[in-house]
Amino acid sequence: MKNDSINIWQTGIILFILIFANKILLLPSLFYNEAKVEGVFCYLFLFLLELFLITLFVFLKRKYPNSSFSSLIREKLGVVTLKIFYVLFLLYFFCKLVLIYNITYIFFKDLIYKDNDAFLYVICIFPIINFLAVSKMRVFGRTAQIFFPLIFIILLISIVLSFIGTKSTPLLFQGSFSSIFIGSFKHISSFGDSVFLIIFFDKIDYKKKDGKKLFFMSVFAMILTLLIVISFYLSYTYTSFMHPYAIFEVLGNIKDYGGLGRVDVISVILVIFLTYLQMGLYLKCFTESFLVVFPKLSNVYALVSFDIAFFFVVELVIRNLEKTVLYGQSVLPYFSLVSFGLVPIFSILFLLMKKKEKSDGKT
Amino acid sequence: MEKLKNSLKLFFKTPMLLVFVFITIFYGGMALGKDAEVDTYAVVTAIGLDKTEDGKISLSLLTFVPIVTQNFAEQYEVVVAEGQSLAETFDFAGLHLGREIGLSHAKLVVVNDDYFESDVSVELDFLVRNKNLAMSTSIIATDAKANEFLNVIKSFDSGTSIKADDLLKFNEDYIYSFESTFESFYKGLYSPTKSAMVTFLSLVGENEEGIAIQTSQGEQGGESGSQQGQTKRKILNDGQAILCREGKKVAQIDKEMMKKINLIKGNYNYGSIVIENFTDELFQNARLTFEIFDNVTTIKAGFSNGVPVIYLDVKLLVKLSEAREYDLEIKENVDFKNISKKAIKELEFKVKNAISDGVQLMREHKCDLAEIYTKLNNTNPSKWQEFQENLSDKDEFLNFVVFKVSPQIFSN
Repeated sequence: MKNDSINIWQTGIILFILIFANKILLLPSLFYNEAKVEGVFCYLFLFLLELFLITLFVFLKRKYPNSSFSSLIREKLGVVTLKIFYVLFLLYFFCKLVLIYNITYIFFKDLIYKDNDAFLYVICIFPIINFLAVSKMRVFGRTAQIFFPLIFIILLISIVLSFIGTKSTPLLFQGSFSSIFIGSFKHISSFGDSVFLIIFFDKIDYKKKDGKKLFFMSVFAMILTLLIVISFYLSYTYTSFMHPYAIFEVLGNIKDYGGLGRVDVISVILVIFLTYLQMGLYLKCFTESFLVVFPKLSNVYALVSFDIAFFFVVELVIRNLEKTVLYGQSVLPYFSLVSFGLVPIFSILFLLMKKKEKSDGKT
Repeated sequence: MEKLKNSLKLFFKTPMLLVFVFITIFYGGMALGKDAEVDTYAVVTAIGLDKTEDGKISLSLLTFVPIVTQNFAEQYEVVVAEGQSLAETFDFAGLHLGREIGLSHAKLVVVNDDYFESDVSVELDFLVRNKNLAMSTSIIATDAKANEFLNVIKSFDSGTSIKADDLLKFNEDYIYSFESTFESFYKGLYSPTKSAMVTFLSLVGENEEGIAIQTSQGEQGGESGSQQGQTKRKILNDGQAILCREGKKVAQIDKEMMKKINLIKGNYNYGSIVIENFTDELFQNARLTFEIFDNVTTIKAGFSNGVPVIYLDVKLLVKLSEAREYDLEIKENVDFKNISKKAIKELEFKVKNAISDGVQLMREHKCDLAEIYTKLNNTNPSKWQEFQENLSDKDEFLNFVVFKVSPQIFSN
């Protein structure tokens, strides 16, 4: 059990990586398309939802320090609900993996080598994320911990450099409330990553005041994300929607106008680290959910079934940016009901039940 | 033997190592067996767009031709193709070259100004979206054939170290203070007032004025070019620019007008101001030239009784660098002369007039080149909205904006 648990700093680092990872490529450009510069408010709104999920986790962990989320559902709502809930989790993480895979595949294909085939990408990505998924949670936490300083330094350099290229004044007050909410809904699937806290509920060593550390790491990641987005909008203003890969583009802007040479390459290194860790964790969440749905099978079955299903879906769904964006905007938001709908409902339900149990005990 | 067995066991138990070995063997072998990129792709460094007499598109590509030589000279060729659409012309150009067209090294697009008579963004859009041309690629408008222009550039690239984009960089830094790239063009096009500027360079004969090197080249006729006669042409960079609105040319402006626009934008860090026939206690009927060393312009927006007001506060640091008295010889070093109050007033008057001319140009062509719209909108969006609703033509908003200019001249 000890080998399969992570401490609160490792949890914070994973949370930091997940909050940051998928928000700095396509999203700034897509949010600009929906709500102009006020796309920043889409981030703020969705980050608030993310913080709500983290708050629920902290409260739940205080009330049920030693239980797993699956055992709570089984105990209080029955096996059928448990199975349905975790099948939805399976689908949710599968769909998110498809999205991340597509975005990063197109990113690397466009920017590194246009002639590469999907097979090369699969070879580079799949063995590693499969390995991360079968390894213990502690191994994953340590891996994230080792790479975190490097990710953090690259990130800081990127943010500082990205503000060098900004010289235009963006046109403010163009996005309406409705455009902000519609934009937020369309891309809600890129958020809700903190739901991993629920999946690994019993594998996180949580002490009384650890909640602050979690909030610190997540709010810090959110602030850095917003800084990248703001520098992107300041760099490109009216053409923000024409630049799909924000972190790469803000550094590319320096290359073009700041005379610093190919600094945009460091953003590619950053995306590589983030991609491996994010996809590895999603696959780990998928495997965990699989083992709850099929308790008699091992995680090897989970990975094999994932790999087979993934190839079918990837062949049908991806291969260009337009299809990926359409998939992310029209299909995935409904799956986000799992993270932003069912998880909060169940969590609040368990908190209320605990309260009732206590008051019943007293009487 | 036991050791070897253990090592093999460890090897097969380490998936990362297996992946590494697989990738090295599989893709290493593939890479070694693959054709060289230069055999597959034609490396294009500049693109030219012309319109033919029968309305077709004429595409010229300045292409790097890899030839094994014993010196360091790079070989370039201009390939020409015609077609009904850009996609078709690219296909034909590929056929002429026997290679795929690779635009990742293209740094320059030369567009004949016929294209600016209609919305040029359609053609530029094709290059960016379908051909993945970098947004940092420079754009030049020219009154000559783009094909001829590329032939002159070809001589630059092959014969000298002077590159065509160096001229643009010079203009960007010292004359225009604006970029002439796809990025700047689209920023202008998608801005609320849809205005953008593009560098204008022309080709002139060998005896005419021009700052660049001259070159000897043949006029192109037909596809892939056959030499018909030798003409000597050179590129003239006299600081002109094309002013576009909604992708169409609305005016061609010269260097002097550019300076006036730059005064409004606050990008006037280079150049000089000349006062003719000036008389004070130091000079009599003199022509004084003041060099500008620094410029700080603050543009503030506000509303007075619902009317938008732009406050332009221009601070110029100048130095008297030349003094020519028409009747007399120069008596002393002008560097050490103080600028009189009268001269300063005269300079301030000149700056005010220059800004007024710049504003007039913007009003005349409905082109907001100094982000006036953005500043007014960001200052007070509700009042700005209200003001716009009262306008019969929203594009003419500059006619109703009051400009309050307060120039301040400082002598170094």
